[in-house]
Amino acid sequence: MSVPERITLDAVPPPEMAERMEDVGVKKAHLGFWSMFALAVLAGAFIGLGAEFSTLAVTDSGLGFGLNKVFGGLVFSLGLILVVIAGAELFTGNNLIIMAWVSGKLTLGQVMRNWIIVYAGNMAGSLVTVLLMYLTRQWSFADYHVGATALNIAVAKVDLSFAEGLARGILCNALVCLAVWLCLSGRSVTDKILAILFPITAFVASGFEHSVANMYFIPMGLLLQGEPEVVAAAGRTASELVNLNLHGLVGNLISVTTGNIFGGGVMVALVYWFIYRRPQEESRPIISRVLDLFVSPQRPGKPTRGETSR
Amino acid sequence: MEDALSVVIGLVVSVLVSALVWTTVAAGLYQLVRERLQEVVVVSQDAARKRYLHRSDAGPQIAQQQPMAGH
Repeated sequence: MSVPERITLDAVPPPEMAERMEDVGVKKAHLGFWSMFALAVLAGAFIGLGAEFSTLAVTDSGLGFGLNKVFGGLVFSLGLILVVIAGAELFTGNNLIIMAWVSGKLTLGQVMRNWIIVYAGNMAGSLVTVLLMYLTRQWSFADYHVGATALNIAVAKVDLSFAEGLARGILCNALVCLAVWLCLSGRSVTDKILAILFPITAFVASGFEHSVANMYFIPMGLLLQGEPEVVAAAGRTASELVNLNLHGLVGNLISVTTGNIFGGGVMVALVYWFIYRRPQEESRPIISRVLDLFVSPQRPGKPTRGETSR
Repeated sequence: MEDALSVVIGLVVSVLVSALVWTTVAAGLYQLVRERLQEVVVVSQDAARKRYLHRSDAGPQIAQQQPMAGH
C-alpha cells in the first residue's frame, strides 16, 4: 500500500531549493543545441520586451527620481516573469548551474557549452527585438521622448568605466539570481511572480547592469542616435554620443558579463552550495577540492549537508 | 587621496574578479574542446572498427578474435 503524498502550501525550504537547483542545472545543461538556442532567443526577446516596457513607463511619468526608478524596475520585472513562467534560457539566471558543477553533477565543459549557446541566443533574441521595436517607430511617442529616454539610457551605459560596469554587474546578477533562487521556493505561479518582483525592481531602480538587458538597450541607442529628432529631444550633442558605438557595446558587455558571472556564480550559487550542498569530508583542505573541480571531470557523488540534514 | 584609494580598490577588484571569472571560463572552454575531441575520436574509432568487421577478406570469427588495438 503506497503512502499518500503530503500536500503542503509551505514554501520549499532552502536545502531542498539547493537540491532542486542542481537538478534543474543538470537538465538545462543536457538540452539539445536547437532547444537550448531557441529557448535562449526567447529569453533575449523577453528581457528586451521588459526593457522596452520599462523605457516607456519612465518617460514623462511625472514621478520623483526615486519613485520613477522603482516604477521602471517594477515593470521591467515582466522580462524575468516571462522567462521563469513561460520557460526560457537566460544567461544570467543560468550562472546558477555552477552549483551542479561544484557538486560534480556536470563538467565545467558542459556548463560552458550552456553558457556560450545561451549567451549567443540571448544576443540574437535581443537584437531581433531591437529591430522590431525600431520598425514600430514606438520611439517617436510623446514627441520622441520615448526614444530620448532610450538614447539617454544607452549613453549612460557605454560611458561607464570597467570597474563601474563590473561592480554594477556583480550586484545586478546577485539580485537576479536571488530572484531565480526565490522562485525555487515557490509552488505556484503567484509565488514565483511575487518572488521575482522585489529583487528585479531593486536592481533596475539601483541602476545595476544586466548583460542581456544591455543587449537590448545599447543596440537600441545605436539605432536611435541616427534619428535627429530623438537626439534633439534627448538634448544631446554629437560629442556626448562619441562612446555610443560597437566598441562601447563590446566594452560594456565585457565588464558587465564578467560582473554578472561573479555575482550569480560566486555570490549566490557558490555561497548556497557551500551552506547546503558541500561534501561532508571536512578534513580535506579546501584547495585540493577546488583543484578537483578543474582536474577530474567525472567525480563520484558524495553525501552532502542537504541530504544528511533531512 | 580618496580618488587614489577608489582607483586602487577598483583596480584590485577588477583584476581579481576578472582573473577568477576568465580563468574559470578558459578552463571550461578547454574542457569543452577536450570533450568534443574525445567524442570525435570515439566516433572515428567506432567507424574504423565497423569497417574492419565488414571487410570482405576478414571473416566475422577472425574479426572477433583479433579486435583492433586499443579496443
